[in-house]
Parts: sequence; structure tokens; C-alpha cells
Amino acid sequence: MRIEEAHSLWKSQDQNLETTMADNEILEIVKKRSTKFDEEIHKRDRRELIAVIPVVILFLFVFTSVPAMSKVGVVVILLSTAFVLWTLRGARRTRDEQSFQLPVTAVVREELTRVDRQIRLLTGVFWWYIAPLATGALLFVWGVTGPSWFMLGYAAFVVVVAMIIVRLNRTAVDRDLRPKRDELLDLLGQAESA
Amino acid sequence: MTIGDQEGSFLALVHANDSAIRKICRVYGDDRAAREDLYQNILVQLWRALPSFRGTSAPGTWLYRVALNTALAQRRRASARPETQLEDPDTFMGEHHHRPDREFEANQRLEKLYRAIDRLDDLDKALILLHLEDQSYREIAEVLDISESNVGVKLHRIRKKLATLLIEERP
Repeated sequence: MRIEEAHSLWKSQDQNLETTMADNEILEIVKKRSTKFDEEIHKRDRRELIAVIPVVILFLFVFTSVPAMSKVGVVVILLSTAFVLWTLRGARRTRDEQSFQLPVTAVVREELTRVDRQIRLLTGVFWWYIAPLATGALLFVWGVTGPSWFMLGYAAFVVVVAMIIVRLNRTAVDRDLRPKRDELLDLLGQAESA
Repeated sequence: MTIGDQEGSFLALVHANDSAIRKICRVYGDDRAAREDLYQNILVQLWRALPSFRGTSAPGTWLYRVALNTALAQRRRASARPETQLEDPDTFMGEHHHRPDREFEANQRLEKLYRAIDRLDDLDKALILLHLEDQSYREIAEVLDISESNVGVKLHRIRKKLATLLIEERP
């Protein structure tokens, strides 16, 4: 087949490609999928809030009855929780409706920026997620128990959990995000090469 | 825009461009299920984006942007992609298993063309698809955000590559 033939062949398929779906069927699909998409986002946001609310209530409840050191711990935990929530939401903020209307390479660049931000977040998870929350928790326990074996054991436990979280996040970066980043760079490379 | 207006404009847009959308799905979807899924995803993205379409670009350019961005995003989401499998003539593309000989032959040739396109890079697929859809260099440049001269250079190279692939492809 010659390339010129390809053109007419391509156009010839148009008559076979008319939609077999009725208008109401099309509208039903888009509305259903669109609603599901919105619901998933709201559900995730709700889940996070539901997870956070008991923590906030619990710490506010004990706030007045714990020593000063623990009070500082509670404040650190609450501020850290708010910061973590804010960071998570900012990082995976879904693409708005307008971004797919941008040119293809602009969307790829935007996606690359998003992936880079996620990589930075996951590789730095110790600093924005573990360290503030662990510090708050340690201050709280220290205030309640004072320097003790329990306190030391708790600190060791926190360190082990932190190491596991860091490790899991690095694995996720290597397994999911770096290949995705390479793919996006490859696409941009295809666009930029002549 | 009221819901009624949105529905009317959306359906008109889909009907006017349905074959183009299905061809995009055929090019970027690996199998029938992926094509169906992509088709519906493109419709959803068009539906969601329509209220914010301000007419700063031509409707065709806008539609190709949304459709191609959706297709490329879906490919990125799909995990390890099995290589070229344009195996089944499928009803998604309006094909039928029992056909007169001439139509059957045309479909065989079309299969061959799709197999050759499938061997191109993702962005080259978009370029040749837009070219085969009779989009001008300027329109292609606007969809992809590359210069018109780059479109020309790339298309020249892709056409040559596609010609070679078409020779290599057995019916």
C-alpha cells in the first residue's frame, strides 16, 4: 500500500463509524461517569476528614488535663495534621476541566510538573509527614510519662515505623513515578525533536 | 449555559466528530475494551470541558486537544502495555464479520494501516492521525503546541516511516 492510498482508505471508513448509541444513552453515560468522578474525589476528601476528626477531638479533650510538655505535643500534632492534609490535597489536586483543553505538549509539561512534585513529596516524606507528627507524639508521651523506658521504647517504635514509611515511599517512587516521569520526558522529546 | 443548552451542544459536537473520536480510540486503544473505555472517557472529558470552552480556538482544534490528551493520559495510566495487537475486527469500529469481498479487502487494508500506525511513537501517531484527518499544519501545530515548520518536518519523516511500515506489514 502506498502512503497516498492510506489517505483515501482513512477517509473511507467514516461511513462505517457512525455512532450506534442513542442520544439519551450518550448523555446517561457522560453524566453517570462524571458524577462518579466527582463522588470519588469527595469520598476521598471525606475519608481523610473522618480519619482526622477523632484525632483532633481526642487531643483537644485531653489538652487541659495533661502537663505542659504534652500540651506542646498536642499543638504540634494538630498543626502537623493540618499541614499534612493541606500538603496531600495540594499534591494530588485533580486536573481541572480546563487543562485537557490545552495543547498536548502543554498538558504533558503540566503532568511532568505534577509528577516531579509528587516525587519530591514522597522522597521527602520524613520531613513533612513523619518528623512533625512523630515529634508531637514524642513530646506528648514524654510529658505524660517523663523520661522512662516506655518513652525510650516508644521512640524506638516511632523510628522503626518512620524507616518503613520512608522505604515504602522510595519504592513507590522508583516503581511508579520514575517510569511515568521517563515516559513524559520521552513524549516531550518526541515533540521537540524534528 | 443551561443544562439543556449544554446537552444540545454536546450531542451536536459528538455527532459531528464521532468518527474522528472513534479513530483516535482505535489508534490509542489496544483492544476492544480499552477502546470502549477510552471512547467513554473522551465523551466525559468533552462534557466536563464544554461549559468552559470559550471559542479561543476552533472547535475542531479544541476537540482534538481534549480527545488526544485523554487518550495519552489513559495510555500513561495503563500498566505495562502488551505490544501491538490489532487482532480483532471489531464492531466498535462498525465492522462486520460477514462482508462482501471488496469491503472485506478494504477492511483488511485498513487493519494493515492501523497496525503500521500502532508501531509509531505516541506523538507521531497523533501527528499522522491529524494529518489523515485533513487538519492543516497550523491546526496540527495548535493541537500539539509545536511550530508549523516542525509539523512539516515531522510529517515528512513520519510519512516515510509509515510507508516503510506499510510495506513491512503483511495483510
